[in-house]
Amino acid sequence: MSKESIDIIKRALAREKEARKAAERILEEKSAELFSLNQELQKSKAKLETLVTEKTSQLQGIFENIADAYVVMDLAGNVLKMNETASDLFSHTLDDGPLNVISLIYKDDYLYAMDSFKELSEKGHFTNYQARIFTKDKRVRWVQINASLVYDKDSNPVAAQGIVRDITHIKETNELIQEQKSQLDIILDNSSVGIVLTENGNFLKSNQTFRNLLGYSEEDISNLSIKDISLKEDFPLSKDKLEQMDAGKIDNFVIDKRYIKKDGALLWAKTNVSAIRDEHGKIKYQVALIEDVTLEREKALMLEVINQVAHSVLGKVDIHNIAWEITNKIADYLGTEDCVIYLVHPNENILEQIAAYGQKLASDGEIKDKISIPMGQGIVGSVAQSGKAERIGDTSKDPRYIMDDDSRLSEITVPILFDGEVIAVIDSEHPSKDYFTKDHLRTLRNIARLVSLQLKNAIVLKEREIVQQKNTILLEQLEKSNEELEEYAHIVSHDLKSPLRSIYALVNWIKEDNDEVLNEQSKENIQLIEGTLERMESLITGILNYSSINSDSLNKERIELNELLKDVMHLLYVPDHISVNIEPNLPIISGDRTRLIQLFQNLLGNALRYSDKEKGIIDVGVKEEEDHYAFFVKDNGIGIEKKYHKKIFKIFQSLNKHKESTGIGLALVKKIVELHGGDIKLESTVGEGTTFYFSLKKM
Amino acid sequence: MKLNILLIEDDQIEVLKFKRTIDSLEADHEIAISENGEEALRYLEELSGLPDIILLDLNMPKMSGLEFLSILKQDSRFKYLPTIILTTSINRNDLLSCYEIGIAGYILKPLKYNEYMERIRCLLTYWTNNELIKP
Repeated sequence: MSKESIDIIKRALAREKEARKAAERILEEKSAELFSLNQELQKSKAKLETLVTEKTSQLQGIFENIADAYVVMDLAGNVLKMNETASDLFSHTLDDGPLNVISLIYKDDYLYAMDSFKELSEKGHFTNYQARIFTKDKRVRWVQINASLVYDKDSNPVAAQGIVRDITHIKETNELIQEQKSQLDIILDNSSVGIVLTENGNFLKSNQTFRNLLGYSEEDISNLSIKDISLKEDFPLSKDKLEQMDAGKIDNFVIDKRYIKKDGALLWAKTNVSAIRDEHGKIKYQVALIEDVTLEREKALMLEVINQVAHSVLGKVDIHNIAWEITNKIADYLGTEDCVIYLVHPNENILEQIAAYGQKLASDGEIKDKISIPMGQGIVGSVAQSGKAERIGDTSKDPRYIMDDDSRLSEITVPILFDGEVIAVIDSEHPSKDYFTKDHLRTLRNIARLVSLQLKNAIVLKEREIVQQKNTILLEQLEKSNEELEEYAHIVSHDLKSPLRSIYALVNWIKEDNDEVLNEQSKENIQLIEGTLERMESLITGILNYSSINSDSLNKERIELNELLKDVMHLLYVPDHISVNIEPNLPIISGDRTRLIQLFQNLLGNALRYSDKEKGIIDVGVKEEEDHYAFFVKDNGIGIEKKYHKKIFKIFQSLNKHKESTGIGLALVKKIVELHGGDIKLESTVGEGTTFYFSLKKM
Repeated sequence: MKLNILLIEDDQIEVLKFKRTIDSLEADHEIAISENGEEALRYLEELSGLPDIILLDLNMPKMSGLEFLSILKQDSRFKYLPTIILTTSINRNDLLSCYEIGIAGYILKPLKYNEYMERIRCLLTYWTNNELIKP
């Protein structure tokens, strides 16, 4: 190393030494300054500490005196200080170890907590933070926190403080109340009954059901009073009850009244009103339970009208009376001004108006401008044809609609069926559209079913009456024509007999006056004329007899037949070779003497007339039967061929050209027997004889 | 004894029959003929006295025999005149009506002239033997 070099180094060291010494000098000067400064600082610190302690002890006193927890923490959430309440709340003291408030946050409330911290750091405070905390002894507590930041002298936040109130209990109570309230609300709102609480007629509260029933919103309700939604007509119903309630006589009443819905429709409701009174007994509130009884009412109304109809038509047999009752009751029930009942006339194929209500009814009780509708035409006509009821909401859209007295938009038409056949139709109209309901239809159907039998009976009765009337007329006519016929028969017989008599007399005079001039032949001819006249005369008598007997002309009396037959025998000529044997114990019957004489006279007369045996035998006898006597007249005469057995009873059927045979006798006999409630027949063998059997009714 | 007889009969031949019968009886009866009820009433009104008996046909034009009978029986002057019906047929109603009003007999005109004569003879004999109310 060169000297130069050493010198350089030596000079450098010397400079360095110098510099260090200078530095040490500065350091010493500065240290002295610092020391004195430190001394001053220490003095002021001691002052400050005293102040702090003072304040702290003051605050400590406040902490201890407030019931709420108090926490001071740094900005990271580390608790710097807390009071005893806080320790109790958190189950933690700072002696147990440090505590960061974040560790206390209930995890579900974390976000909310963070938001609140943010709010705190931004705004410097927050109030009424409500959340749960999770305490160190693992309990969940509801707390309410009001917090603010603590600033240093330069306004920099250095810490935060908060008052924490344990609101778990309040919260629980509130929750309980809330829950109970909502439970109550659930009950209220789900009740099928509308419930309202009112004060002086104004709504305080209403449940959903009530609002649903009437279609009002909660807001609507709050602006309405009970009166506003009640029907004026129903006021008197409740007035008396409310007065009694006000007077303290009753605490509760139930009425059926109508409410006006928001859409204007009416709701029938059973309303149960109870008074809630204050300690002085004055009404504080009224609770009303409102039950929709529209359906029940409809049903009740339905039943009522059906009952009414049933009652009113009971015992009525006149078809018009029945129909009038039905129209009145139905119009009343339907609330219409028009109701007509049509009767089906199946033969003419038309429907006749038989009863009406409203405009169609004239003051005299008759139907105004009666119309008849052909089957199948119009709504009524098609219902009559189909047998199916119809309910038409807008007749203006139905081409079938026939306008009667007035045009109306709604129509309800129900057939009355009997045995599957439409016998009548109930028809009602209403000016409003869609007026008639399904219930209306159901009711009318029920009424139709109810009255069907009675109406049918009435129709049958009416028909029968008409037939009877016709029969009566016919009978009268028949009687009259019978009388006329009888009269006619007499006149005819008189007019026919008179000329016969005249001819007879004239012929007789010719014979008498010319007795000497007439030859035998002429005299014989004259005799023939006389015979002919006699036959003709008896023919006329026969016709007269036959035509003048009928049931009216019978003069019934008690007849002893044995006596009667004695009389008959006096009228008849019995030749010696014929014996007539009459049973001695013939019965006593009820009959027309003259006709019965004719009867036996004819039968016995025939038997005598047609006897051809050497010894003629005629027997008359009887056999008693249950309600008849069976008689017989038996002869052994010429007999009658089988083929004539029926014919002989017909008028003008004479089998023989006998002088006395007119062909009327047996027809007359048959008629007399029949008029006495019996019948006649015969048995006969040609050449052997004939037996006539005939019956006469017992007395 | 002779009778004053009023025959009310519209049939000419019946009148002839009656007259011929009276002739044949050779009785001295007075016979007046009326063709119908009205004529008979007129005759009775105009007659100074009264007939002893009246023979009345029922079937006549205009006023019937029954009508005539009723008028007769309601008239105080004529009501005791014995009136005998002389008719063709038995009509029960006619018979009842006649007896109801009041008749002195009801005789059917038979077909046979002989029978007729016999009946008339009996009738007149009967009335000839009867006491009659004389005015």
